[in-house]
Amino acid sequence: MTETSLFWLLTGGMTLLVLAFLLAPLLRRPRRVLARAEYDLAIYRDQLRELEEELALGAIEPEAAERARNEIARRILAADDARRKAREQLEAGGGKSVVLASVAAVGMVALAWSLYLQLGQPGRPDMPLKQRLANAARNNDFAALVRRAEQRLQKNPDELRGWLALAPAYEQMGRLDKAVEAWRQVIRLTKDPSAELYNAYAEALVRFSRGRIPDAAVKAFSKALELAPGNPMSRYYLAMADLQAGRREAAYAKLKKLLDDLPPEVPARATIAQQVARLAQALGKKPETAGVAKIRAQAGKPSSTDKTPSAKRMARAGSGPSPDAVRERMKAMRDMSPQQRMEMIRNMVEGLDARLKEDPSDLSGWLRLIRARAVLGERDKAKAALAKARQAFAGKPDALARLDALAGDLDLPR
Amino acid sequence: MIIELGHFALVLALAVALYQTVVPLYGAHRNDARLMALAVPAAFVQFLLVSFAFAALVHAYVHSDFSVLNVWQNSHSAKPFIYKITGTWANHEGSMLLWVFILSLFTLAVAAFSGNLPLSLKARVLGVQGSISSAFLLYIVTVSSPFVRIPPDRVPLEGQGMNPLLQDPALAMHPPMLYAGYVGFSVAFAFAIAALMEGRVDSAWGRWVRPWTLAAWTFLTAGIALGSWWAYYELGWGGWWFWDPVENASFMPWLAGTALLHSAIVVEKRNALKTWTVLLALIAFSFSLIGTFLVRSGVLSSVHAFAVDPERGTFILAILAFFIGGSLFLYAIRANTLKIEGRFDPISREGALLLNNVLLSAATAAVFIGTLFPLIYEAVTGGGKITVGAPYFNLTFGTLIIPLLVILPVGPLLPWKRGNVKAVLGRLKGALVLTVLAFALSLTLLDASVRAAFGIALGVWVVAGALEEWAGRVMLFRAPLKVVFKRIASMPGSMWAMTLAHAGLGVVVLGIVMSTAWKQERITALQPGGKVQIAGFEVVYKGTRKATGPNYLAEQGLFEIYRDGRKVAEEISEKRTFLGRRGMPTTEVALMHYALGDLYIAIGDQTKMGRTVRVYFQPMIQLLWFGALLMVFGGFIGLLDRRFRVGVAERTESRLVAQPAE
Repeated sequence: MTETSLFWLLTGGMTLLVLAFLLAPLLRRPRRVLARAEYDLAIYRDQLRELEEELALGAIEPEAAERARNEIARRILAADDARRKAREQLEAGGGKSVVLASVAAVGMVALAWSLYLQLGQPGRPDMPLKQRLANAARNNDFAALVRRAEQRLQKNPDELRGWLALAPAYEQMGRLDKAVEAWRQVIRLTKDPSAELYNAYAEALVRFSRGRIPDAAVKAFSKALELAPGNPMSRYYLAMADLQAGRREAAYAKLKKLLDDLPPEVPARATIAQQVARLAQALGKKPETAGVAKIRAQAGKPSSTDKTPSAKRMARAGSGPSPDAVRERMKAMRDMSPQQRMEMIRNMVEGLDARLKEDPSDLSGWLRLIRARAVLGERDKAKAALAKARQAFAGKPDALARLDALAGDLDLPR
Repeated sequence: MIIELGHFALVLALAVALYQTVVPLYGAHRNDARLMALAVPAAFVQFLLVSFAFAALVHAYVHSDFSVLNVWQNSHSAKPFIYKITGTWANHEGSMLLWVFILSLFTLAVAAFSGNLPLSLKARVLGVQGSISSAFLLYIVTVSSPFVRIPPDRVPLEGQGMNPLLQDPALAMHPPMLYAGYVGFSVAFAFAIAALMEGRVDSAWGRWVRPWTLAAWTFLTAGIALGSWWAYYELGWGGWWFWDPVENASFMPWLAGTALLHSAIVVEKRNALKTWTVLLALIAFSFSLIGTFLVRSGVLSSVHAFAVDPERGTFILAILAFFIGGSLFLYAIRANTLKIEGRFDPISREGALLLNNVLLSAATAAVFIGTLFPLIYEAVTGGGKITVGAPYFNLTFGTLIIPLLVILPVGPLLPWKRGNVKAVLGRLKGALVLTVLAFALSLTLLDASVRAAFGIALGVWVVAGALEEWAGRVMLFRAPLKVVFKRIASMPGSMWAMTLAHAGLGVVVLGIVMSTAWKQERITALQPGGKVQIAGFEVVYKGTRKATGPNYLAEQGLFEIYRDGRKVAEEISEKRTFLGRRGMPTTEVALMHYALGDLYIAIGDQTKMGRTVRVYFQPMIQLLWFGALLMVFGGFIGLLDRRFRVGVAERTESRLVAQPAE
């Protein structure tokens, strides 16, 4: 039996049982009904008995007891009188009351059904956390799988397999701090960590630092280069690190060498080639106007967005704005008047807004949009974007937390 | 599927509650025994359905089922088991369900324990109970449902956590107790409405109402005491009562309920004060409703909080208007049908109880005005904020409560109808002597101010008066021991209840006065190794360390306590930060109980000067909780009084037999 049909069976049974309970008493002959006065009499007799008890205990003065006795006696007489007069006022009620009660019961229950069908989700299964974690693999429940691995690792933090599974999962979920930590653990637990591991760890660090290449990453890339001399990824990032540190000559040399070593079919070649060309221009390897060269050199510095090129991204050329496109735009902006620049920024923001309307699942897009709106002074629009983003990520606590953090930074009401 | 079955059961319970309202009330109106008799099975079925729904929600909490919105918003899988259960009612939706669950329990109790109730009265009482159930169930089902689900593909893996302040054993039990009190008054309310419908209140009615009122009062007392105790050890400010609107919201029904408890005695014993008692029953429950909603609607923090959720706000107002306005309207047009009987002198037991009622009602009104005035002010001025603080309450409430305490020991000794104060004071000679002694000793030996000495004398007067009344009743020192023991053994429960509750109140007064008058307080910033001298103790701050709990991180301040150069204790005072989004830290006070009072240490923030540390010595504060415990204990003893279970009417002979159907 499916869960849903079991649900209908149970609710149906419940309904019938309730109706039976409510209506069964109608089928029985009513028991003897006592007049109100008889209940009163019982109470007054009780009071009289208590009074005698209290008198015997000395809790009440004899004089007061006498007065109270008289009073209760008066009540008893009155009640007795009422009882005699009452005849039988109470009627058991005939067939009419059976019909009336039945109609009321069935009507109310029908009302309940129509309400539930509107408000409830008939037959929808429960989702207790334990069971969800247990069935994670079967249900392809990515988040639950991650959580299960985490739980395992909490008990046994030296389980390499778990960290190895978690690290890329974290990267995919955008939890970069966790990803960095996971790669670090992997390296700690592997006997002879390979160059790939060091590269992966370092690249996670770079992504976590939003494109800046921190010292720890430089160290790891160098280590990878030691282990696998000549591997393009380490070389590329080390060149970028030089560039970020202002050692443009060194960066140029390394990139040029890398370009020469790369086989022609590698897609990333084109990008690197462009970078080499631009650096060459900036360094005056080919004649170029000084002003532009300066701009380009600055453009080579890290931007605050996370649009730094990564080897993987380069390999997936075509997805998302390429770093070069960004640089091109920035370069163009330098040459504009303030009004034009503003215009262009607004166009970009509106474009982003439009894109998010079509595809609201891009968290970093939302974060950028909200920040841009706030920086442009369009606080209302920023708030609206925040609200929309919250809606889009309702039920995803990680995303919501990032949105909230941003809202806090920008001092937007939550 | 359990969740959906629970949801279904809840909606079905609404249907049954409506049925329970309409059919028996119509039956009573038509004098149709068959229809009236249907109230009992309906109450039974309703209880089963609501219990099932409540259990389903608890189940979802215990198993961290975050597909339920309410569970996701208010729970966390790392919470200790006990708080997974109590988390069920630590939020608006869940607590409303708890409210209805307790209401259905009381309704069931009325249906089960009222074999001695006339059928028409029973049908009406259960019908009115059903109407209250209907209103709340409709509210829950339509705008405050705890069973709303999160779409399957978006179910989060972790909840947002429970308000850390509420993760505490005393506060876990506080709402059920408080609600049992609030809801208990609904029985008295239902009896009052039924009486107005029938146009008769008599001595029997008083008898039926009393045990329910006592039950409600007992639970409410326990609930308030628990809440106050919690505030004392959890909030870290060294106080136990703040005249905070949330506290006042529970205190008002307690005051009105206390008045009702006493006036119902007059109805039962003397068949007097009837219309007044009916009105008190309506008011006590009205305050319970107001209390529930003041706390739960968020209106207290600001009128604007109410407008944030206008759907619920309007619904709540409608329920309040219907039950409070409706019942008072019914009272206005029907109260004159209640016959006035039972005359009495001003100086008599009735007179004393009436004075008790007047003072309690005035006190209730004072608290009511002080609580709602800021709200009204905000609404009228369009956002102006004022607060009514402790000075107002201490002045108004204190002025009203002092005469009440003065007459308290006298009342039980006055005879019904007419009495003589002189004769009564003669029987309170011992208490009078003790009171004067207490006053003199406090002033001289204990170095108390005149006000404090007066307060202590008042407390002693109440305690000693209650005990002397008891001693006189069992003829202590006046009869042979054998007789005394026999009298003690055969003393009815309600008498014990009175003695215990009155003495308990006196003990509470002593606790309040002493802990306020002699409280010592040191608030300072300490470096590790720093010392504070207080009440003969030396408190040494050893430093702070970090610790991890099941679902929180803690900063633990370590302290050593010395007395006369000897180390008497090592204590830890904590600040906890809980997991989840609600990251406000909570305090765990270091609390040491000594014969003369509590030593109380709370840590605050780390500043440049050192760690902020608050140290209090609270003299005799244990009397406060002990007195409250006595009152609650007295209430339970009173409930056991066999006299509340009147002989079943069917056993009495009767010539009148109902005509069988057809």
